Amino acid sequence: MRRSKALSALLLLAAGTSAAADRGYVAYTAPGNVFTCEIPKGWQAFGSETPFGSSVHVLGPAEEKGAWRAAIHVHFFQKSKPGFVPFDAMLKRERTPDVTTHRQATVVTRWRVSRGSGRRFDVTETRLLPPDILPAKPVVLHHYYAMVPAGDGYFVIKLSSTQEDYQRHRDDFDHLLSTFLITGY
Amino acid sequence: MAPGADQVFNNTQTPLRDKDFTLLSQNGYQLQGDGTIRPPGSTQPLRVSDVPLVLDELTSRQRLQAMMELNVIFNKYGTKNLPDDALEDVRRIGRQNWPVLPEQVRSDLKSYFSVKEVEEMNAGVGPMRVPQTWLPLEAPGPYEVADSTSSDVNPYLGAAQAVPAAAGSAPAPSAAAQVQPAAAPAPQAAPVAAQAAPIPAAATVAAQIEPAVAATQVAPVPTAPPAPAPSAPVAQISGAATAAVSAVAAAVAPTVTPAAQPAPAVKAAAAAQAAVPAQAPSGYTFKTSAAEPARLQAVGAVGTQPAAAPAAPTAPAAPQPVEYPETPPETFKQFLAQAPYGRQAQDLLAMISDHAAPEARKTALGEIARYTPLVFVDSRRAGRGTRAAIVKLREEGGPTGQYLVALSPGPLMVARKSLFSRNKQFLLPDDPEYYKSLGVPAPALQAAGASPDANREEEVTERGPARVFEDGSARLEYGLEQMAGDLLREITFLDPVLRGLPADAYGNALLARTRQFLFYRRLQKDTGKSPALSADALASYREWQDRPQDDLDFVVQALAAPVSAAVLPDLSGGKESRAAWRKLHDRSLLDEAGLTPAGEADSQQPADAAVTASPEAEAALLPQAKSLGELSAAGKQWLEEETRFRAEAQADEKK
Repeated sequence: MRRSKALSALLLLAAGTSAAADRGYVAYTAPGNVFTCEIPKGWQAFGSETPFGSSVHVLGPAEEKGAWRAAIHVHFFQKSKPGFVPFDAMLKRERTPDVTTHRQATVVTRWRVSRGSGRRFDVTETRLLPPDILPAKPVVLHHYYAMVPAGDGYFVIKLSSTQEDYQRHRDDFDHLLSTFLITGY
Repeated sequence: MAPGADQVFNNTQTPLRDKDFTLLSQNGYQLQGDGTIRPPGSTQPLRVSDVPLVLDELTSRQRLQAMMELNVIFNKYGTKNLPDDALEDVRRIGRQNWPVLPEQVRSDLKSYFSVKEVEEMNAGVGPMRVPQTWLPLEAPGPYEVADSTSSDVNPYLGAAQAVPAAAGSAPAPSAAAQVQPAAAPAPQAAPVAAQAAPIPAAATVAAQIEPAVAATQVAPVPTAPPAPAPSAPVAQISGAATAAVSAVAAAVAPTVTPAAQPAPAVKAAAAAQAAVPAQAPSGYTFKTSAAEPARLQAVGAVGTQPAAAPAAPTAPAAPQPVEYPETPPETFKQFLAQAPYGRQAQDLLAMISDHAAPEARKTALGEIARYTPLVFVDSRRAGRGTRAAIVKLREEGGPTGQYLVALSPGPLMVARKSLFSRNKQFLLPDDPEYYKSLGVPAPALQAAGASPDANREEEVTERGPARVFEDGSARLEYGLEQMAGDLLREITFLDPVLRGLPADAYGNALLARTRQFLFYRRLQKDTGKSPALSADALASYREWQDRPQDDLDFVVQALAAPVSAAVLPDLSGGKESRAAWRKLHDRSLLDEAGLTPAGEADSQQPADAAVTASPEAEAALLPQAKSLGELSAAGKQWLEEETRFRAEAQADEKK
């Protein structure tokens, strides 16, 4: 019995790995060569300047019958920008519960990202989707978070999807973090 | 008396024509959430028997006012060799009021228009179609940007996307031109047209956002002398109507001096109209508001510039963005008092004037003064917009028209119980036509007006304050402050379209959102209390303040989803694929809400390039993704205003 369970687990693991490998990843370099990483094949990335630094959005598959789209986001916060929020304060803000959206966060774990010590946690919240178009309904969203210090600033890395689909993106987020490399800021 | 004539009129059950609705709204009548209509200053709703009389009365007033304005112009300048601005005023008044003017007056005015324009205006004399506010499935979504071949000009697009569809076709009559403020030419249209032949070639107007508007701006050489000089002085008309006319006349021609003789036809018609009683059978008094948009001449609005600047007649000039002047609060108040807005819209605009951030205020007020987009509070016209929608009105015989900002006072809501979780709320459109387009029956909910006499209670639901009816259905109630923010957002969206600026749905969305939230923040600061927002609006507002990166992510993901398809639209497939996505989404959601016949929902997902990951799709998406990374003018403006706000907020915190 124990052997069959172990065998099943191995098979499942192999199947998961195979699925991830089938899906495939492609290398991505952010504008300005700020970081590099591998993103799922087929996902579309674009980056732009933001008030707090710069951001890259990587758009994935549609979810919730077309009302939402899974995505990876990488935000770089520069200390020189006005309104800069320090790392610890932002970590606290990200994890602060909110009654209106039922926002909740898991505990923080340490995670090695780009040879540094990142903080990783998950957040769930309920939002109205689509936000501006009827008909609409509240949908539970799930966000994988990782925050990585970088010099005076830091990165906030996030994979956001619906709660219904978040499990199948876990490998994508793990792979992203394992290949994420800060190359300049 | 016809059966039911004494019943209270209900617009939900018997929708008014758009033209009639506009007329009522411009005169201060207010559409209530339950579909009834209240006269200005009255709590008694209109009865069925009142409606035709009221409409007749208001139409008569519009006719009278138009003729009096013509009278003022002809008194001042005569009828021949009018100065450019006076000629433009005559043409504008003619265009705006053509369907209501007496035949003789129309005949006299024909000489100021080209034959084609007259034909077009005569075609527009028929009733207006009800606008397709619910965004039918085959039409582009409110954020859709890629369909440059669509015949509809998307409010979220600039001129560049609008041109291809229209450039090859003949210009059509424009309702926009009929309702726009005096001498407010479409960007670049008038200078070109002034030197051109009466009917411009398609190439001449190709750079315009609305070729139809450009066409109506053409200043032809009058082919026959207009009616002789007028004779009846303005003072012959007494009462409130005269006051309104005088006010408008003062706005149109501040230096006018009473004189001389009106055209015989004008005089006769004016005399006939003067005898129309100002009291309706139901006992209320009509509000005498200017049907004509007032202008901000005092502050030098660009809309008052004459349309005769010389320009090369062949090649279209590059779009020159209109610059709006600063508008002092008092001047805007005066403008509002004469502008064609109902009381609720006036209140919202006044709130924007008082509390919007300087940049947002300048744009919003400038746009309102120059282009005077219609503003209605009407959930049916808001269609699929959760809080608001921009609608381009259509007319019989012409594809383009005036823009309308329809604000929803609150959508319908139904809740469904779930075994393992909380009640799930579904927000639904109001318009029966929407359900018809989906092939499902409109839900017979009390909140939708199915039982006008049903009891209701005010409750604070999970989604915000609402009126909850006996059958469990509800209607969310958005507060005035929230609606003012929504109006500011829509006006910001609409601005680049009206000014002919390059399209950037993403940048415009970010800028509009920031201005809306800045408005709430300043309102909070000015009044000392939090703005009354629905739960979802409040969540977004807080997120924007505390975690702007998460707010940005939320916007990106929502706009890139197939239902919106404003960011990287081709990621959701082609136009047909996006329509299929919308249909799938809507039917699935209605099915989940128990509003479709069992088992009808389609579960097959349309194309998604992020899943198929084909090289062709990737190659097509690459340029789109690249352009998103380069900030447009709207994007740069967003960045500038956001950065300034973050710096100010930080300084405030330090204090």
